[in-house]
Amino acid sequence: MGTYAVTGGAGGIGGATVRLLQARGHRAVSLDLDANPEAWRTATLDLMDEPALAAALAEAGSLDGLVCIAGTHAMGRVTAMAWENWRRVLQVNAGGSMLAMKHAAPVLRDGGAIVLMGSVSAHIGTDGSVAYHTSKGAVLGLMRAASGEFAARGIRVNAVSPGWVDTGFTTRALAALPDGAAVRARAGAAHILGRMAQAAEVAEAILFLLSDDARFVTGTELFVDGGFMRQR
Amino acid sequence: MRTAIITGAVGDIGAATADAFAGAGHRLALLDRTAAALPTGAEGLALACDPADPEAVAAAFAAIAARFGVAAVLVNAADADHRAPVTAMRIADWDRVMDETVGAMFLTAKHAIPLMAGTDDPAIVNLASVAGHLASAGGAALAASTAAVESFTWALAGEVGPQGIRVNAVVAGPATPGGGTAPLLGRMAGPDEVARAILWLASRRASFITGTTLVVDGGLTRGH
Repeated sequence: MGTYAVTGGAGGIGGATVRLLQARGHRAVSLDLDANPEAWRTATLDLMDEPALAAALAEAGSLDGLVCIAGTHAMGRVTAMAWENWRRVLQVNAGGSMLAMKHAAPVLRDGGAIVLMGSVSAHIGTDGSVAYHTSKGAVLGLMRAASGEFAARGIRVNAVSPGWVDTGFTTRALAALPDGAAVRARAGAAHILGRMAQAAEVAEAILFLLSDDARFVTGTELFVDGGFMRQR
Repeated sequence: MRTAIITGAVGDIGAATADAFAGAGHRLALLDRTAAALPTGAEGLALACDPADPEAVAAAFAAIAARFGVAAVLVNAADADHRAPVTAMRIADWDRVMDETVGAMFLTAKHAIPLMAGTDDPAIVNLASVAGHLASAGGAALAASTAAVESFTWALAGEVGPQGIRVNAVVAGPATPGGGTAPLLGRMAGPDEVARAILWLASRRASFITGTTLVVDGGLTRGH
């Protein structure tokens, strides 16, 4: 049994990760703006609040792993995006992952594992989501760099990159689009498997990367995208 | 009980893969040029079969079909290498490497896909190497063949995705130290470490993963 901290632990993928960790006999600490009453411990905080983040992670005691899922999205094209919206997306998605690693490091055991949340959005472009695409590219850069920094302690750092996942986050992002219903209707066909992922399927990949089965896997990105990247 | 067909079963990774699948309760059909040893207690077949020989592969799969009827998993772990500079390499050696790696995968997939019909979450996992991503003097045949394995994997994923068959590759890091940089984790890949990644990708836990590559290289390439 291990103890794992999950940022965004009250969201769709985060909640599924908390549930799966605990179903497999582990303890999950949720770090999120919202509480997750299912989690062994739930800390409600903003990842940009460093003292609160540090305190919540210190309180968790010894961690076997950290999962950085917390993320946000804001529509906007380069020519029209408000600076504040751009900064919020970059701060939460990339900066929040960096800060969570920074403050988890003192309590993360040697030989543990970190999983960051990438996305197929790091590899493709769509119009009107420039901050989100950029932030996910940054997360992958962070993952590759941090995998080297943590290697001396035997801590592995990897990313999971989903395509479309059927969550509240996706529903909210689609609601911001004028043609959101049509985009959702086409989303399944964008994957070889012909459907969106369920959050639990992404959680399974996260648990694999956290586990001893992945003990020689570090510095890499695992696509959980139903073949989205190969479908054009 | 799932049946797993494993090629290259005499090799280090193939044998470790057979052990891993047997440990997870699979029946095994092991193929290699010489018959592999079935792991202790495992149920199944071990056949002598050159996976690059179309007639031998057809005969082996006829035997597998007769014994098991269906098979949910195919793992292609056969490998081949011929080290020579391009200017000195004979085309026969180049052809042999291509035939015994990506060619063998084509032949086994051709026969395995019909056996997957009606199985629950069928999956194919093909073994590739970081050699397909890196510079190497004298390694052109291996690099080209293993990169072709990845491309074949992605193409096949699209072809059989509508049938519910997932197809992925595992890129293994070097098993022996080369002259270059060591993996971040400071050691080489153990065959069992590659095998466990293969087992996971072939399992229902990877139900939304297809057309991709899982890199098991201890951080050697970091995104290359």
